[in-house]
Amino acid sequence: MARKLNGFSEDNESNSINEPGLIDITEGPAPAEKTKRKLGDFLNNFKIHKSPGKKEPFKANPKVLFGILIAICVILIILSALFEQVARPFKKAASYLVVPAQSGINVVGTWISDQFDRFNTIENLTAQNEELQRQNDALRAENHELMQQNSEVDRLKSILALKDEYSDYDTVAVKIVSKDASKWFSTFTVNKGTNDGIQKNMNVVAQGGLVGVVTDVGPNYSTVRTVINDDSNISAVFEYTTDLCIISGNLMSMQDYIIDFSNASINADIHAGDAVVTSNVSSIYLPGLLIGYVADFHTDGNELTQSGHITPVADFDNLSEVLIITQLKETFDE
Amino acid sequence: MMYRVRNFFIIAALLLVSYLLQYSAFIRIPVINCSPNLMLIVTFAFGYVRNKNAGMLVGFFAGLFIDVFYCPVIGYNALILLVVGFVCGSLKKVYYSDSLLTQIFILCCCDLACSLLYYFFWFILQSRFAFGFYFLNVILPEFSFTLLAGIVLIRPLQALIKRMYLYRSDSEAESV
Repeated sequence: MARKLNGFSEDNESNSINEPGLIDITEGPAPAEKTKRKLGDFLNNFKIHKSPGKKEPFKANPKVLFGILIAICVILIILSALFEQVARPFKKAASYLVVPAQSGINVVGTWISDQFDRFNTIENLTAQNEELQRQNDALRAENHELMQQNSEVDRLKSILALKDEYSDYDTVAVKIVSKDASKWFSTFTVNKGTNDGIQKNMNVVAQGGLVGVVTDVGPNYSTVRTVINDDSNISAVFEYTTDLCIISGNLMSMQDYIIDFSNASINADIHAGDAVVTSNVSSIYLPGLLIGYVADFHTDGNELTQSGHITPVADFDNLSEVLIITQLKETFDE
Repeated sequence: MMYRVRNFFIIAALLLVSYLLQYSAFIRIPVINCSPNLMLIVTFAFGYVRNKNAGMLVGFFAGLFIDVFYCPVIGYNALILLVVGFVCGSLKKVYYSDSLLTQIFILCCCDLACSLLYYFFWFILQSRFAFGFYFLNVILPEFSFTLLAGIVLIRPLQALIKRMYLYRSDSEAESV
């Protein structure tokens, strides 16, 4: 019986124990093969034989399989668009598998980037030092000037009943374990979830400003949608007036590190550099969280509103640790 | 039977590793801030080296894995990668080619198609246009990074897949 030379055997009865890649062009098997054949034949008696034609239990018609899988996908899409609970079992199962590994990678990555940071040269550090000294001096002067206005600010704040800095809220420190890789949206995942008391709609802050909101929570992970995400809309006020506006994320302008604001009244007194904080009327965001500073503004074509751009406070490219405020807006009393 | 179980675990490990690399490792490289579409590369490799069934199933589960965390709607990536696996499996019969250039070309077309479809469904249908911006800043970096990763990874992946299925004879492997 001729055998193929490509390394695959065509024997039917010895397919269970045949070594892969066996090339044999001689007339009969070597003695070692003979014993293996006998062993194989002996063991074959104990096997449950499938019907002779079917060596391949999974031999589906690909077009049928294609149709079935597409139907499953479409059903999943429709169900998860309508109901949110569909995703829950999938996410729980995946999170037990994936989030610990991601935390581990996070540790390694942080260590590696720390090692790289040590290679800064002395000149870099000296230049930085000088720049910081200059900034320090400028800030001292500004601080002196601002302290003189402090008493009036306190008075205005008490009139407007604005809440104090977010440092009064209870926070949980979390690490970012993964970010959405596709750059279309801006979401990231952190390593704490319901086991640590995180719930949906909790606000996330870092580096002195609002970063985003928790949109999805599992036992050991949470997904945060950032302020710069296209889907994100925040109701905000300019800090020292009571004018409302809406801050919306925009991937395009984020490349220049600015996000949009819109729907500010035509009568609002806006200046470049004004701080923008979250307002009281938002149903999700706690009031008084700093979002950013006005970069530029203009009157809209309809002559009723103003809009412009805001420089957000947080540096979204370099976030690695954030704080989640455990106070929910719905249960927050003034 | 044992080979089947072993192969299942190898594929699961491959998907897990590419998921972790794609979403936690490469994304941390500071300047670039995007990562190659490794799930697509794995799906393409299975579809092209094996048959349509293998490509479809690997694509479906890879897409489902991505969707669980990173898509507002479960099933979108599963659908896309499923179709990619199917198409790559069909292309294998058309090209009969093992040359790296052909495979890289097909991979590029698949990646572009994925990105453009993503843009179509999530941006155009919500009337956010500015295609030029999205193309330059989002599609192109990911495309070039995937291209690089594909050039590096396709040959080892092919070798791995062929090794996995070496226990089958030719007639079975070419069944579809």
